[in-house]
Amino acid sequence: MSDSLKDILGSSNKDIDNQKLMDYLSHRLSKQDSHDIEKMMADDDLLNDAVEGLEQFKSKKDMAEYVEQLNNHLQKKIIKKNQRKKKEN
Amino acid sequence: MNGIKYNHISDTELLEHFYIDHNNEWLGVLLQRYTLLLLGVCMKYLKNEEQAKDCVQQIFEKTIKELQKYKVDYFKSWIYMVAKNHCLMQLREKGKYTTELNENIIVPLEDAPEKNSFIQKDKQLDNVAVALQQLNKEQQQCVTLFFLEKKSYQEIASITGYSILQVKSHLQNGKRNLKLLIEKMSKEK
Repeated sequence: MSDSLKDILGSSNKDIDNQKLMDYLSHRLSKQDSHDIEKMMADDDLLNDAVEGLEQFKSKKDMAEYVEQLNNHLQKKIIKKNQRKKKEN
Repeated sequence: MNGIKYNHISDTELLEHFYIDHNNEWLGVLLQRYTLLLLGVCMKYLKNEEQAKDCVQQIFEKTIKELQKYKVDYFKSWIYMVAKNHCLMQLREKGKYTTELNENIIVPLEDAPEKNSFIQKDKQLDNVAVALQQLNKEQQQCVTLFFLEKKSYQEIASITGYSILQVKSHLQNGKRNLKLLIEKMSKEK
């Protein structure tokens, strides 16, 4: 499972795709797609708060970098925890 | 970034897998779906990029710990609540805490929206048109442009002359008032 873990990052079917959200924040989406996201925001407090916060990042590149760092750190942590568990067993 | 491998698996299913074999990798998959969103939420409350990043890391650790202990049914609402409360704690520690934040930030875990039946929604639709007429002018205008004419925030701002922030707030208040009006109507019936 661990190799394929890198593939993910994406979205569950009904929720917003992370890449799409990044594109929205960088104003790279069509009018229709932007509206779709804004419509989701109106129904989704988490997404609404998130966009409000993400818009405050000075550089969208830094923002993407933070996300990657956080995911890498999480991944390492989880592998460590699983190894510890195996030893205990 | 567009992995497809697990896209067909819902949050709930990922959690179910985890509760069966207690392999933390399922949580890794699940949490990474929320990294960007959580970063945004933390940034909204903490208003500092580095602090927001650290905060997400702490939320991840907390989440992994808590999920070993008990079963969570609606992951999305749950992690949103965990994140908001964690931000509040941080603000409190730094002494930036205000009552205004307290009122808005702590949310009780509500029933998931999925619980609303479609039939009920259908009935409500009839009431929406009536309720829409009862909103104030600004809210009515924004709600109509957004939901019925499918304009973006930017477009609504240009049409009405409101700022984007005002548009957002008219929309949110308008939606909330609509809900209240509709609830009132269905009770009266």
